[in-house]
Amino acid sequence: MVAVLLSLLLCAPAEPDRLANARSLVAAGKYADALVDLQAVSQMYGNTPREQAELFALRASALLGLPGSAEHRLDAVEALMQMYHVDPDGTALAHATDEAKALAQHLRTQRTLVLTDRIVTARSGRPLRIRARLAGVRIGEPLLFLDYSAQHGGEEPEYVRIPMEHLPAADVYEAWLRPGVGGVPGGGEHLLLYYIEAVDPGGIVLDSNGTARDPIRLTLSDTLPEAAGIAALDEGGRPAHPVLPPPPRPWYKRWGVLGTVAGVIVIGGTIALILSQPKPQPGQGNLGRLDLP
Amino acid sequence: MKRAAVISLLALCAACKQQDPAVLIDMSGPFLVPANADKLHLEVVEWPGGNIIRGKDWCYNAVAGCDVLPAMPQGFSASVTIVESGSAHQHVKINVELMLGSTVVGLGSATTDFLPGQTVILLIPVTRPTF
Repeated sequence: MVAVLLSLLLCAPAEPDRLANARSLVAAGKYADALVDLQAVSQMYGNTPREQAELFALRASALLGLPGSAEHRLDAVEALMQMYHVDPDGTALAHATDEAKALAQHLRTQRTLVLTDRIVTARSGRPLRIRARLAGVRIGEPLLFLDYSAQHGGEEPEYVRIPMEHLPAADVYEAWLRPGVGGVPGGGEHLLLYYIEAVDPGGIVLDSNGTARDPIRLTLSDTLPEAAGIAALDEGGRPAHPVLPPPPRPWYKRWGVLGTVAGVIVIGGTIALILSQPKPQPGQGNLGRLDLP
Repeated sequence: MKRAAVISLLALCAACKQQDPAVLIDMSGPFLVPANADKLHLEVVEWPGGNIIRGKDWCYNAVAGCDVLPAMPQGFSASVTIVESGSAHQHVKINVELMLGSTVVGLGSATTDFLPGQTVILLIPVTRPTF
């Protein structure tokens, strides 16, 4: 009986690698079939960010391969934007069609993209820095906001919205989440949901990496990062703020220059003061000066 | 930095150098130039010694060696600055004579001290002589 069960298990058909299959279908030009497989893969739990990026790249390729329609193109644009959100460098485009690559390149120059290295896990109870940068076209000086929620249970998450600080030197935006502050858990195992939104000065959303409905999921754990050997992107072991080397002192702030300028000002002011002293005014008939020997 | 400070200090000291002692003589009197007077003679006399240190003439009519005395139809009013640029003469007497032709028509006199780094203002009224 046991032997029969074992033989049945071993002979059961393995779960096909539907992502690889979709990749082959796209390469073969069978776009409609590829979309079916891609839909199935996207609904599976546990796709890695790399797999998600490839899913979006292949989906855009398949949509653009279908007979042209505005709706397909819009969906392809959406897929490529999501690909960049997961894969800021667009490495997943290696498996995409030329048309998808061209559209991705076009988007990179015509749209505003919020890019971030998505944090999957971080140590709990430590300050956490979340950084993002903007790519593509910029309209005015956009503002970036971090929306996060660390609620328990299956209730609808309520997000806390904080502005991200722009660091012009590195052209990145960052926000710090500190344990016990603003709804951030002070410790323990938690799921933190977040997304990053870029808003133009007029309040129009330019791009959002993650959304309230489909946020980035971050696991806060006391043990997971060390246990899993994952290089967590939290800054718990470092000072609260990164130590940036001071910028070189500009020439006009050096002591030598300042001292000379101050000296000239003092001397000039003294001379001006002396010269501005009222002088005895000669009478109407000024006969000049008489030097005594 | 040190060099700049030294240069600044020297320049500051140069700017603060005291002026030569001087006396601004302001003369006035009821004389119309050239109707009542056409020549001014001024003497700086060492006092109380009496030795003439310097004398100078101003003439309304052009005369060689005599500076110009401008017309003063509202009355005589003139000023001269005496600067002690050579040897020191601490106490001096200033004599002023107004002449019409060769006749002395006005006299004035005052004594004063030269003060280091200052210009002393000295008013000398010129009046008709009583002799």
